[in-house]
Amino acid sequence: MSLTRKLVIVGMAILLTLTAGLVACSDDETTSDAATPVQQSGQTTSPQSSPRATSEQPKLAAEQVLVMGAQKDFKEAAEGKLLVFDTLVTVDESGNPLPRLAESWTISPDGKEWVLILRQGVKYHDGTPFTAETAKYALQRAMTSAIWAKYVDDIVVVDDHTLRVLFNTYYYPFLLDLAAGWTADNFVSPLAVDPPWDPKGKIVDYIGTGQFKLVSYKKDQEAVLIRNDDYWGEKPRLEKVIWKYTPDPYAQILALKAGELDIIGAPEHHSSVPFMKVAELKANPNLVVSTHSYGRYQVLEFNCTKSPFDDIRVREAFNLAIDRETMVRSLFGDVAAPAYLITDPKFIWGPSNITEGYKHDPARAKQLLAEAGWTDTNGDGILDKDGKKLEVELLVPTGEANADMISLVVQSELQKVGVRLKIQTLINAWDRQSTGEYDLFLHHSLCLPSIPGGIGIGGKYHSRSSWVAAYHSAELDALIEAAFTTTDEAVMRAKCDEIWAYLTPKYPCIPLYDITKTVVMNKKVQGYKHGPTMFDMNLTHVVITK
Amino acid sequence: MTEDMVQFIARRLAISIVVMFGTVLLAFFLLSLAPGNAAENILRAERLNDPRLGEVEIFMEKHGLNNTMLKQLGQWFYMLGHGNLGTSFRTNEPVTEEFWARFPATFELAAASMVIACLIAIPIGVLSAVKRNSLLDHGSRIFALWGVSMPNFWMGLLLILIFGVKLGWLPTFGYGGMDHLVLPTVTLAIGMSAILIRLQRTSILEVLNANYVRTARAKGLSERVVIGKHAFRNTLIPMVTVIGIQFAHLLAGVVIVEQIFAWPGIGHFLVDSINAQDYPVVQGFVLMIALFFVICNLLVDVLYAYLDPRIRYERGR
Repeated sequence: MSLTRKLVIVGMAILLTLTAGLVACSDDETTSDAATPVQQSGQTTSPQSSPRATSEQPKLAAEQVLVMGAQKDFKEAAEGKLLVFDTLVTVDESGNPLPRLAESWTISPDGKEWVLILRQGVKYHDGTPFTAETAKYALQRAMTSAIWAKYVDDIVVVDDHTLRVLFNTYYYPFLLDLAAGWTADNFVSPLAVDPPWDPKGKIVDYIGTGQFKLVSYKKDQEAVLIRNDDYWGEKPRLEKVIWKYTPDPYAQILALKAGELDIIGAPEHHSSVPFMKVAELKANPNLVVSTHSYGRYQVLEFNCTKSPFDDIRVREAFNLAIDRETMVRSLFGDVAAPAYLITDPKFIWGPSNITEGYKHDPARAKQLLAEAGWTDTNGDGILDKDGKKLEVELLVPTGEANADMISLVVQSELQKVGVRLKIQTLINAWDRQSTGEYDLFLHHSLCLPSIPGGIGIGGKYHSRSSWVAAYHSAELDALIEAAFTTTDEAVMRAKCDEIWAYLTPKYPCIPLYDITKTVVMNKKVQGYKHGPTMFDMNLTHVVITK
Repeated sequence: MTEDMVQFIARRLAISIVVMFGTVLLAFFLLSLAPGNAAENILRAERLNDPRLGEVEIFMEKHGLNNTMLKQLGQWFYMLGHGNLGTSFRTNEPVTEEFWARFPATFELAAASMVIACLIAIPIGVLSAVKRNSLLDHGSRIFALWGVSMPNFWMGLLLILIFGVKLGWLPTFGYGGMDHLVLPTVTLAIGMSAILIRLQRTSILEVLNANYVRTARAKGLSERVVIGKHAFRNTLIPMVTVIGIQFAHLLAGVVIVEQIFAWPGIGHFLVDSINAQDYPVVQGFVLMIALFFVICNLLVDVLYAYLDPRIRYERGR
């Protein structure tokens, strides 16, 4: 070998080593293992909630400024809108509507007349008073794209702080729809719209009634918000929030470590902080990780309209075949919790009457498949029936959170009971979902303020929905319609119990795990609370300490 | 500028308009053939929740998505005739505004990277050709191989880790002063200079065997003049061609680098718009990008004439 060749090889080796070395030093924080509490469904794990942290009085920094990393541009994110705009109502973690700009409300027994009592003394950031007139304007703005617009006959201003909304039918999710963050900008000052007071007008200034005022905004760069000192409710302690658009999740983590961002993951929905990085972040002494469950489940949906999943025994067998506990713990540690029910029982419509969730029992799974006629006649390890192998296709929409890992685990679990799973990741998976061209479909369930679990009218398990191949039946339709057309809450709850008692033994899907929301912050940030919905955050008590 | 050249430029500009519209038509039909529904994509991306049936219909109605593709295209050309590129489905902002809010950042990054890449590549390329098989030549080969092999996202994160997190010398992300420009520019320049180094080296080696170089040497000119004046100038044609094309590519947006450094350019926004099937944005941006591509190519052609007087822009070409 010539000297020059040797030199070339040595040079390349040095570069490779350098590269590898740098990679290694990026992960140096992973060496120590942090002891963290195991997360329970519906609860938050955060070292900040420990008694020691709360008993000490932290020293506050001179400037109360929070620099927040966000993967979406400020104006494209529901979380951004909710800082500036208040909605009429919000919801608690179970789905009960809570007052915001509306102090209270009543519904007529037939559900066709809603009377909203509005908060008094509220002002928009431009000084315009919030009244029944401006609230009516907000509803009219909402009606240009709201699903409930077609049910509204009239909106009547009764007095300065009372609004009557007249419907031609009872539309149960009216308040829930009004709580949605992505339409919060409908509650803009009617004078900040061009032309003013036009429900179709374009918003020219972000002027709401919310906790923060927008003072500057640069598209795809940053938004600067200052505290609204005239806020009607509890005023935040922060003086300023700087929203920094940082679309790359890994670069965001580096910016947090470099101290250029104070908090990440807060203004996003779920999965913006890669689950795989959470253990490393927890071990970093300068950072605090806080995860929170919103009862949003990742679910495998069956195509119940054709073989093999038109057979209830096969659906049950698939549910029994998957060891959720091992899957979730090995993939995500304590970041997420396995799901054994169709939806989270904490919701007011949830399966709280169901005491026993889906189990892991591969032996019983095999037995059920055999009862359904699926046996391995040729000894190739794959079950068959009438000469047809038990091969099913799992359709995954591109970009679905954690889909690669989850699909592979499900594939190996099913292999153990003699099922061959073909994984198909497609950009147009949702097209095939709407036409029912799939065997299994991976997605995540709806979450608040939408009705989770697929049981509303027009929801997944209602036959008039976009899920044409989900489990449907006339009995189920009747139960769903009975639950969501009554204004009596006790009746609704009783009907929900009936729905879950009916639906759970039908095995309409395979619930997998609860996709939690993960927020990571510099330890100087204290008092952060997760918002009532995944699209919301609570900055009221946030302080920056020294 | 000769009359021939003016005519050449005028003709090229006329053809360019056809090229631009051809590009837009292609983009429009490809997008319309692509599976998926714009309304559903946009609503789902906005809320990460399944849109309900009625909501999709309302959205389609609001944005004229129920019209036939041909009618939508016709409407778009009609608007274009009135100097209007339409409004984004996603952001409800005029497409021209969306473009000009982002293009300067993309241009700045592209220009800075190109300059840095040339500053690295030209001297190294020339020297490694002149001192062929020397240590420098091998070093430059290793650098070039490393440069092209490192994917942008990896290089970018690595630079952030070293200079932003470990050393704390430079900001890890954002747009603003010169300090923000350094890391994204270097990330892009390393990959590009790798290609240019190899091209420059090969081109010089090729011309070093040419008769006129031998003549120049025979005349007794110093090696410096031979390389600098005779050899190097003759390598500029391939270099300018590649630099022109690369620069035009950069102007189309550098998605990954923009995403990693939170650089507010057009790339990331355009990709999001393509995924959401936000037709007005895709058509408008493609039209503008095609325009800049055409301008770049035209500039390269004009530069040829100055660099090589043998190139004539004759009638009919």
